[in-house]
Amino acid sequence: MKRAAWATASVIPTPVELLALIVGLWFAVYVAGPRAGLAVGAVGAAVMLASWRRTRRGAQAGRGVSSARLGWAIGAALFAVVLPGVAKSTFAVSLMDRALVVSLIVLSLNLVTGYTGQISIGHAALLGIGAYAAAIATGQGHLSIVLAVAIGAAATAAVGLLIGVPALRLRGHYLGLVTLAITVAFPEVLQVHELEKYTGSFNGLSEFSRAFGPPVSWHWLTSERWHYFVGLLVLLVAIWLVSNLVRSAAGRALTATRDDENAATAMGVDIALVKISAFVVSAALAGVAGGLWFLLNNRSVAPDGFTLTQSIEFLLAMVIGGRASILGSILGGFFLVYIYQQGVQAFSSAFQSGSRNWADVLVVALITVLVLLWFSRRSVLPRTTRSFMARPASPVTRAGLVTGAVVVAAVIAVGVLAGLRFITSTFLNVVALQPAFAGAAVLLVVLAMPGGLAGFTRDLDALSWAEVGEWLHGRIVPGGVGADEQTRGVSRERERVSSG
Amino acid sequence: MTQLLQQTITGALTGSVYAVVGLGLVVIAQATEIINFGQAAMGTFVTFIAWSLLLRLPYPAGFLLGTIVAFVVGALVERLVIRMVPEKERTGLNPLIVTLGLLFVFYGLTVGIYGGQPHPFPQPFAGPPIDLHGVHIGRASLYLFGVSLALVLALYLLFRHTRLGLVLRATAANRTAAELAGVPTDRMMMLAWGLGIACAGVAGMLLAQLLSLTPNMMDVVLVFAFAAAVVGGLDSMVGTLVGGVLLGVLQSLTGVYLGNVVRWLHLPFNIAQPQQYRDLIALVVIVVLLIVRPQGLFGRKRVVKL
Amino acid sequence: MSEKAGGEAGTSVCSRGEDRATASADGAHPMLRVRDLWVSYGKLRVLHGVNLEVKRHGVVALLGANGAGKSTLLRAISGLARPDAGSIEFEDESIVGQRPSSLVHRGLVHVPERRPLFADLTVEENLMVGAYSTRGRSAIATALERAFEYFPILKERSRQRAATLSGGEQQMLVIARALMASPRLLLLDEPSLGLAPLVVRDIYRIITRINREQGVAVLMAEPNVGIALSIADLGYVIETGTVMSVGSAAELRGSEQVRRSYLGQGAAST
Ligand SMILES: Nc1ncnc2c1ncn2[C@@H]1O[C@H](COP(=O)(O)OP(=O)(O)OP(=O)(O)O)[C@@H](O)[C@H]1O
Ligand SMILES: [Mg+2]
Repeated sequence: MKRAAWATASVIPTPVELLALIVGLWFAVYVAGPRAGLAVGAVGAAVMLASWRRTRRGAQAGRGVSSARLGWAIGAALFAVVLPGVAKSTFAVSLMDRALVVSLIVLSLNLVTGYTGQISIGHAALLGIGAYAAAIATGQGHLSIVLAVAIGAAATAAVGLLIGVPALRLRGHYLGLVTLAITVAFPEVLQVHELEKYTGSFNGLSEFSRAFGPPVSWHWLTSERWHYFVGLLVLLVAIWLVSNLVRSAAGRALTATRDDENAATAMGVDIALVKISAFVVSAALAGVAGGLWFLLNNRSVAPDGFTLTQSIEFLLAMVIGGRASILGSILGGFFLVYIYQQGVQAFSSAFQSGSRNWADVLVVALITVLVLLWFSRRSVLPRTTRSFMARPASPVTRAGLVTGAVVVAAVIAVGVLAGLRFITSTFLNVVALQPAFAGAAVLLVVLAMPGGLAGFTRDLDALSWAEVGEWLHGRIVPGGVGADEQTRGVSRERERVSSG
Repeated sequence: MTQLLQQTITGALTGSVYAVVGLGLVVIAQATEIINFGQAAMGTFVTFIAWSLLLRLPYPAGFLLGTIVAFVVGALVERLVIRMVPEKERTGLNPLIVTLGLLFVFYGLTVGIYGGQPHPFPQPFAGPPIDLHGVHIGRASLYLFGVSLALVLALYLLFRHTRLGLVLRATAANRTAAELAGVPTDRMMMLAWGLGIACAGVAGMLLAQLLSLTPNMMDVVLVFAFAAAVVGGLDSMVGTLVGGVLLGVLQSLTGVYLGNVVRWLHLPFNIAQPQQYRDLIALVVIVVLLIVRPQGLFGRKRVVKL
Repeated sequence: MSEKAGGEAGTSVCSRGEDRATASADGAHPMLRVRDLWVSYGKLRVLHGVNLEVKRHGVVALLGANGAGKSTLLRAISGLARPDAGSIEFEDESIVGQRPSSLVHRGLVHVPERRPLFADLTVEENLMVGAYSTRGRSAIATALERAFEYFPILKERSRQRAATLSGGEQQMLVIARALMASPRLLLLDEPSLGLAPLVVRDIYRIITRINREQGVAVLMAEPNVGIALSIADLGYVIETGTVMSVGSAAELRGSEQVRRSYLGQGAAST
């Protein structure tokens, strides 16, 4: 309480606001280049910041926050609508488009896996079915693209039903195995000789010639921008759909079934129906995402786009973004495209050419500091390092210990890798190491950040500069702030569950 | 008739390797109640290490060293990753996500260090197939089968007839009780992971000499191994072996006879290239089996806490 | 008449416990010494500064109503629960933070409540697991013989799956399993739970024998005052996480405090 009042009274942004500002600006500059990006990013971030504070003050005073909502909408629109308008290249726009579609598929996965806890390693196959259905319907069926996407959604919904019904009988890992088998089988089915005339075997299907252009010809509205806005619209509709579903009585039951099936049965919820409908809706969304995927890739599909690797990427993105969270789905989608795919590539090329972008380095450094801070606040480290030590130490020395352990591990790893390289005389391929980074990130999230990025932002919200100072001077008492924070985290979790 | 026998034998020999991977899954699942989806990726990673060792070393030494490396990798993963997940959070999605994370870590390491191109893996008994009254048995397959069988037997003896095995079983059954009986259960967990991944590593080295070494070599194998373990109800070694062999035979027979079966059934289509369906039919069978009998063919019906 | 003695024990509450602790420390060193122990589960504080001592070869009973914290105290001593503060010394060495299994090697063995056993293993296999810390074939054989000597019924059942044993036999099995580790201090948690009075008497008779013949010290949680005090030298009455009174069996039997805690039931039964 005291902290929040201090934060709202001051013109100095709180740590979380600072982080949001920097990330927002960085993203805008990344997409639109220095001048336009700075302008749009600054205005957007300022509007969002103002409405953020207004919302908090309003919530404290118990007042309505409708004008703050308008501010939010304006700020979000600046990022979501104006930014692609002033983007520096068509590539930047199509990257945003890709992030939207990936967010959509992660959202779909989150509905079935994050909210109801039914593990699906099969979402790449669902995406593929949607994409192939759309491709076949437009190509061989000569249907309009809207109809084709609808057909794709219907097809995946049917498949979702087909998986969802037997999935009721399967618990945990068994469902994981079934969906894994489906994922492994899907690309093979596509390449079967008997289906070649429909699926085009390993080459897939493509009709680059018939681009999906905007309905009006206007030089500003390039086909990339048109794709982007269509994707944005679809994502917004999907968010509206999922958030209503999740907040409805059935939706709350959905979350309840994940946590405790017996309790949910006692509540009189028809679990079977809820679970199946989650699967069907999720599959339909994945199907729509598949249709958009097909468009996004210049109307082409190929089996190697829908393999086990993609399925796992979606799952990892969901976990990193935040389970059972809509914001988490979007963060996860953007993580997958910007950090995982683009970021690692940029990093490795910078690494190789020796040129380093200082802005990027600064952002990374700041995020690292905040993550470390948050670690020490959550008292996660004592938990994970307990076995290293007989007695709990202060958080700072714990942080130091873990940093030391990580450094040592990194040195060992580099040594081992160098040794292996010597033996095989091959070179380390940083881009190919990508999955290893994602895997490591996920392990870190599960070990220390169960709420994912979405939960991380929520936790940071409660961090003040005073605590940052205390942390820097090593005066946070063991168990004190951290323990407090942990219980707060728990109650917040509860709130979130009960409010849907 | 000879062809049928030939295919059955070939399939059974190959299937034994699924049993080895499946056995590794069973050992880990029993001890830590975690099904390791990263098993195949870890096995492949170790196989690549063994391959790079074998560039310099004679086969037996490389094979042995590879197995040891696999054991160490498994034990380290338990110590550094699995144990860090607090016991009360080892529920729901978490274990699965952790092992999928491991899958990606090891897959990424494999591709990052060794690249994606296939490598031939040295064969200890190269030579023409052995001719047994018209049935040809490849030396590589035979070797694979022999090692698999020996490994299964060794594990069986370890678990059933040694004190260490007894203690491992006790740890799996009730960890707290085992700890209170003086068993250092955390070391047992490391041991179980070490054994499990050693199985995966051995399987990887055996498969690599039969196929060729690629980072994705064992993706499908994981599904088959998992299925073999499920056939045994996730706690039976013999069941796992039988499951693996049955799957191998099924695959092998599908690859040759699916066309005939379709014709014989007068189905309205033809199968021109039945070998394309080898994995598919097996996957379909697995899915159906799981849905119809989730407790496995031999498993007792009981609550599985996995 | 007994009311007077009871009044004395009752008024002494905590300070009395400390008196005794220092008094016994004057003599031989205690085998186990717990000082100012605080334990909690999450936010729930269960033990609030408990002091306790067990002498070499002694038998000490923990008395107290359900939920008083007896099991928690035993769990903290054996390393299953982490104390927030306080010290636990076993044979003059601090054992806080040690794993239960390493304490077993040092001779401190905990037989927890509800008799957890390895249901799918045979009786003999269960015992063999208990012998993990014992090295050498002959030593294990001796330990097994000793266990069978105390619990002959287990020898008859040695090839049977543990899950198929009766409740009393299961309790015998867990105690026998603990014996396999050649303990010097046994922590027993409610060995009488859910058993017929005759069986309870048998088990306690064996516990007494183990104490006398093997010189094993015993610290046991036992809500049944009558039984507990019939074999214990010393009793600690625990109420909502603190030691309310300490005394010899005779003192406690007459204690008003104990009467109040148990509505006189336990005292009446002896
Ligand atoms: N694992 C746990 N998590 C949370 N609370 C616990 C846990 N174990 C025990 N408690 C609580 O601690 C308190 C003391 O429990 P404890 O088991 O030590 O009592 P006890 O004296 O052994 O009782 P009983 O005679 O019923 O066995 C109880 O209120 C109980 O609810
Ligand atoms: Mg108790």
